[in-house]
Amino acid sequence: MTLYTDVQIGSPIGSPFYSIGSFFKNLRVRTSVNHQSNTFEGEVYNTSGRRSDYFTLGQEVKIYHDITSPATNQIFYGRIEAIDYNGMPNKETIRIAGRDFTNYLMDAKVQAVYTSGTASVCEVGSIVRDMVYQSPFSGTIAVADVSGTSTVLQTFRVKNKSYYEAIDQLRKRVDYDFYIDFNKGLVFRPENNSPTGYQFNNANVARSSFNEDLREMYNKVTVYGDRQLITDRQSFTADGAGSVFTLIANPHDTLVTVDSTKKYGAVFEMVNFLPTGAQYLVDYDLKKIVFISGTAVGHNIPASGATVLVEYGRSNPIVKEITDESSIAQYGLRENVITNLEIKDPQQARDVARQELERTKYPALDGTVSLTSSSISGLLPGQTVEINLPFESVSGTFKVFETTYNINKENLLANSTITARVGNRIQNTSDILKNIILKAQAVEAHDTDTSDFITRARSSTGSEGLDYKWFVRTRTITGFGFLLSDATHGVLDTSTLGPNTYSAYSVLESGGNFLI
Amino acid sequence: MVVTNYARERTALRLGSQVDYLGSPYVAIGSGAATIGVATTGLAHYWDRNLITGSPDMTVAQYVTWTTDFTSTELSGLTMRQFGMFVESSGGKAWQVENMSQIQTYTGAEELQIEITWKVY
Repeated sequence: MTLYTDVQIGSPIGSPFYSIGSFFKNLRVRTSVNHQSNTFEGEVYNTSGRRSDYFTLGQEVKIYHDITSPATNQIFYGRIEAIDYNGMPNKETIRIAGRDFTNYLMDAKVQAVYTSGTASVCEVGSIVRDMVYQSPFSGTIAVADVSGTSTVLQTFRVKNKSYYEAIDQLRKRVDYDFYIDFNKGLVFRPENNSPTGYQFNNANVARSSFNEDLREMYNKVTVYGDRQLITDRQSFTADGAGSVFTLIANPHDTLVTVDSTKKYGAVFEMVNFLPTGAQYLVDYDLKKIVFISGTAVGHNIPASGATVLVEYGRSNPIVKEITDESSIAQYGLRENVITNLEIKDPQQARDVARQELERTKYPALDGTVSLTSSSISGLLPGQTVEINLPFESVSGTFKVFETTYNINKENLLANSTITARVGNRIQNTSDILKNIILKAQAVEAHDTDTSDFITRARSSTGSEGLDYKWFVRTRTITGFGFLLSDATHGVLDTSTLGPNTYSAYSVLESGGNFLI
Repeated sequence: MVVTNYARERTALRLGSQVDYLGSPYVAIGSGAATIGVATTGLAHYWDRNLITGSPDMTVAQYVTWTTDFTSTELSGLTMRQFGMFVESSGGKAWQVENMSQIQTYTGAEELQIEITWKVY
């Protein structure tokens, strides 16, 4: 038995089909869910330059991998984004590489704020659909497979992040997977709901490696959002002798009056000499207002009975902390602190802390299996498989989060093209670098705001269309009173006269394209 | 030439006025599921159809919102998989049909509210 691979390239895409061996020297396809775009990289024979004019940037690529010929199981749909010509006499090759259409989500940025209120209900799926609807690629990326959820967010704010990162944040809130399918549709669906039925065991696993790691496990999560400045006011009655007035919080932007006369301040211990005109000093760390007196500055201590009024800004942090005691008891305390200045709502901070704890409170298990099988045509992102490898002490259902197809003539003949990563992804150096870059971008975006006015130059043509959104809500009835025509509660002599008790309506599901 | 927002606003108001088979004042619910396409004319399996509650909300320019309620008696026994919008009180063809992914079976202790908003853009 052998495996088969065919490739289509073109714009628009169509025949012919290019095969491995005579056209492609080798081909590698990597598919992933929730982490990165799907990629392909292939090396094409170009002896004497006979194929030098075959490829242009932007051409579409479809790749098929199957257990029968012709191969019809599609594993990749994307575009050529890089072409390299390598020359050695009589051994010329061309390397082509590219990503799938996840690049639409990665290459454009979004800045938006969604707030639930009477006019809109920010159900997570509807936010995803609305972001795509408002995006530059609306109409190119479809949203028919963006599933609704039962989670409604009070607030969701995103500042100059890629659409990919924004959707990744949302999918973590509801334990969903997302990726772009072969019809350029965004799929947003519950995790682990796509079983393959495949069983990986000693019969079809050529090599395996399973790592269980505590390093990315956290059982105490603290989320710091942005700080909110609020104005406070404290009033004191001076006794004529004391010059120090202690506040209840560290003061910002102080405004001090004594019997309604404004006083001028300076910073405590800022300089060795008192600045001209200063009448009080602010000791931020000790929360004190210190009135000063002396030959140079005059007598500024408030007289007995004077009303000293201090108005100042209090910086209130948005902080939520959550722990899992059973994980702490089993593995010891491991703490993660998340700082996200886009969080300006305590409820959002609490939700983020809760979801992060749920995701990381147990050790991560990252497995890699190299398959030898003539019966597996492919593995799609997010699918689950059954693994039983007793020598690695591994048994159970695992989600496939990354699949690599290493395709060449030898691997196809040996049925050993597929390597799958399963379980939970353990971060490597590239992940750490990516996180550093994303944090730096978040810091740069801090001073931008969704209300910022941006001038744009656009051209337009006339058109009119119809779009839609919908919500399905349910509520339950308890404490039944008499209900006319009801088989159970509409029977005289058995039902109680009186009102029913209704719960509030809650969103069961939502759909459509836009949200606001 | 550019189509103005005034044109969109008046089109939305016309949809909400439900005159001459324009706009959909009825919502039907059903227990069947089927692939929905532009040629779809109705639900796979009808259960009940109700008129919208009150009048459509047209307070926001270019938008029309319909809200329809179903009582516990009407829902009792239904495993809802589809809903659609219709102009007629019975029969007729659908303006819009949606499949549900969150399937719920109603026991007679729940009520349902469906809110649909159209935007003329």
